[in-house]
Amino acid sequence: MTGDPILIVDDNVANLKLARILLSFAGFVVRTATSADEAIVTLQTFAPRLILMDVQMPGVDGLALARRLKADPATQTIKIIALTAYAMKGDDDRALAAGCDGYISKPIDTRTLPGVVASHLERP
Amino acid sequence: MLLGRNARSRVPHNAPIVNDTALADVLGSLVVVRPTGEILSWPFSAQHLFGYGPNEAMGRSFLELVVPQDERHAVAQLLRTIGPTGARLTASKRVHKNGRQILVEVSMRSDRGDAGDVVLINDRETPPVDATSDATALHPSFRTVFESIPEAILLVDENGAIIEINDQACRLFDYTRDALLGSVVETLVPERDRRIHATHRATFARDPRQRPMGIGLELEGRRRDGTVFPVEINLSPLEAAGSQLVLTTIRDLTARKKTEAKFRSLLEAAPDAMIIVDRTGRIALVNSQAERLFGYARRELVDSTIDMLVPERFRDGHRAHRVGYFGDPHVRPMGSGLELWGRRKDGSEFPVEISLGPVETEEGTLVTAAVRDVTERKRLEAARRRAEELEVRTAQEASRLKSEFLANMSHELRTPLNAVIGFAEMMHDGKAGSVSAMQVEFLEDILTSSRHLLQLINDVLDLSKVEAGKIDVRPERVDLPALILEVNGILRSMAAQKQIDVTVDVDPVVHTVIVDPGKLKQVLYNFLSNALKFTPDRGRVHVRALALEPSEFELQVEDTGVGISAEDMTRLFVEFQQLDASLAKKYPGTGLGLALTRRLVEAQGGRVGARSQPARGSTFFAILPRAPLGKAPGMPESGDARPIILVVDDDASALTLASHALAEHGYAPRLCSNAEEALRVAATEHPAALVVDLVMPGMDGVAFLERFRAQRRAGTVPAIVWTQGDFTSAELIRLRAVAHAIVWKDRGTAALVDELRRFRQPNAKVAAGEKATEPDGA
Repeated sequence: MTGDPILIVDDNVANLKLARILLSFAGFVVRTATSADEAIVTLQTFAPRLILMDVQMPGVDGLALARRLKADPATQTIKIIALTAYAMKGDDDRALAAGCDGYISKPIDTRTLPGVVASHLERP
Repeated sequence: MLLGRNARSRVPHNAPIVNDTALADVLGSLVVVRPTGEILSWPFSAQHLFGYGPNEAMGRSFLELVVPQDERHAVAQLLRTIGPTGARLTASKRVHKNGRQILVEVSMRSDRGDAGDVVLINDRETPPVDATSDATALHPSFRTVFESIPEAILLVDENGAIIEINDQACRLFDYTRDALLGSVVETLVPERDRRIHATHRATFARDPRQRPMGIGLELEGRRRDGTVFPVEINLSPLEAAGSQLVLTTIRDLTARKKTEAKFRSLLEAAPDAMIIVDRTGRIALVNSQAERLFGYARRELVDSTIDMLVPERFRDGHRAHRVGYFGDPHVRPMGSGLELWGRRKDGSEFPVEISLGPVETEEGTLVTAAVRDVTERKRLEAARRRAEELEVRTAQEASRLKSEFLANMSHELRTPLNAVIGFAEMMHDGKAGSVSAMQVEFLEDILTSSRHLLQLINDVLDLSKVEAGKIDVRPERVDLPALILEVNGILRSMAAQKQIDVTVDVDPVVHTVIVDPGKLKQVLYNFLSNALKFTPDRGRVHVRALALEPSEFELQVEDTGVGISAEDMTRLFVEFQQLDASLAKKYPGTGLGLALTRRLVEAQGGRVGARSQPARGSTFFAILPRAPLGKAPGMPESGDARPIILVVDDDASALTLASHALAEHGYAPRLCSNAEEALRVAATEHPAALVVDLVMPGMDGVAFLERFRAQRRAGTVPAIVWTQGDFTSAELIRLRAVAHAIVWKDRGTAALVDELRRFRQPNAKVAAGEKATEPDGA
């Protein structure tokens, strides 16, 4: 479980840093990208087991990225967890419809995030 | 003796031959004269026949008094030469005192009297054989007829002399009968017209036919005092005793002209073009507005056919309409919904509005048509429509931009908070190295404030959507226990912190409801988070879902919290009303949560409320319809035939998808790409159910369903709204009356087929023509 490679995609560098530090402290091998395009480039050399991905980003947004990765045989086994804006607004449904394996509502709970990520990795 | 025998046989012996006009008519007058003509005896009978009294006649010359000039010589000779055997003349002329000629039968003989020879002259008026045989001596019955005709009548001979005239004519021209008899008819014609009148008379004499005189001319008569007045004249030729007479009927048009003038000035005063038309379509009268509107002069219009003002392609229809209208003439106001067109002289066409009204005239029923050029109005209407469409589009665009802006805004505002909260949490939890007790306390303050700010941002975003009247509702089949557990999960840590026991109870009847799940989650979240907030540690919170008959359910959250005072109950669901200032410190909140909850529930046709006992606890509840739309009436059994499903969608690919899915599941899909077409199809093909897209150009899905329901027997046909976007609550209320289910396109065609299958439950058999099932719910 620990040592599993994880990619975090978020256009907000502070949030990216927060998630990176949280998950690194929890023992994951973390790489980051600040856009969907950068994520795709990173994925050519880095094969994460899970991607933690902000839904709303400028340019190609997280849902489009998810659809693309789930359509590509090379990447479709990577688990994708969406960071959605607001639990009550239906972003979660949209995330699942786009092929995401789960979602976490922002703001992220620093006390539960590593555990949630780990539990997703444990699922078949 | 002729006279003696008559007198003896008819008159009682010795009765004086006096004062009996009837007898005088029969016996004639008996005048005694000298052979020179000097009158010796002038009895009543003579006075009756000739009009002169005895004082006027005695001693005068019979010849001069009553014999016309041309016969005087002959009669004088006869008086001198006649013997006792006498003579009889069958047709002699006499002249009445009033100048009228009288035709008489005469018996004369000489007698020897005391004072020498005398001649007895017995004149009896001879009735004419018929009226025309000699008009100069009208039969009394003819005269009666002549006088009884209400028209003014003249009889004129070939030289233009008036030989008979009735009382009406005398009154009309203000002459006595005597003054006119024998006068030339031009006496009654204004001076300036006399010469031409004489010419016309000669023309008529050459070709005598019955006809109205001077068609199209303004004819005038002249009274004795020289004043003139408008007349209408009719001429009929009469052949009488070899002479050509003309019977002339004269009608005074003064009153009619006055009425016409009044009518015309009314017509001219009308703002619209006025055209008066008879049954054959002949134009009888127009006003100058009509001249201007159609570009014709009045003389071109009057007596022409109305067809000239109607575009060629409408003429046949117009004629049929006219005939129909004259069959049932009534006032028809403008704007009866017909698209009508007028045609100008130059052939150009323009849209008109026409109002019609019957006018009763001497010429029969006419129709007044008021014609209004509506080019300008149509242009304005089109411009207004365009402006409205633009406004709607602009408003829609503005609303979309606002929603987008708010979504972005909330994202932008929350994103930095995410980092603030996250790093503060990490430091607080000692993940960034050890922190002092005071640092922990400060970090807690940072966290509390940040979370409060986050909640404020969320609530303000929601409320701004509410304020804009823009709560989108997306009702779906919802598993109620699952939804409650999900919200519970979000708040689990809060409950755990305060060691509050949360229990859930769901009535199996409302296990599945059709609501907007997002909205319901938010409502429950607000109730539950409030309950947790205001319940002391180790308290209890109970979530219940109860069935309310007939078609509602109640979501209830009961706590053992601080409770609410009676005076505060009224302010519960009002914006920015946090109840107790001291509580606000202890239980921070935005004051928006419950107000928002109320709006969200009301948008779905529900209501909210609360019961409370201070220090004992509170119960908050929301009551909502179990389904937003009415219960489906069920599809009628169609026997062996595949039920026809009418699918209305402007999106061709959606039609294709639906078509395949429906055909595959045993339905006969009937596809329409717009609502207008679908209305026609529905009227003739009687579909078993409808599948209708909401957003379509032209008539949208709701309007289509409303129109469809207005049709006969359409109330029982189940309808599914098949759509992409969310509804506003206003749309949902309209849908409630006309549709029975909503299927979201992104749920796939399987959901559509599922919903159709629900309509086919066995108990859903509905007789055609049965009253529509009333929609359930609010």
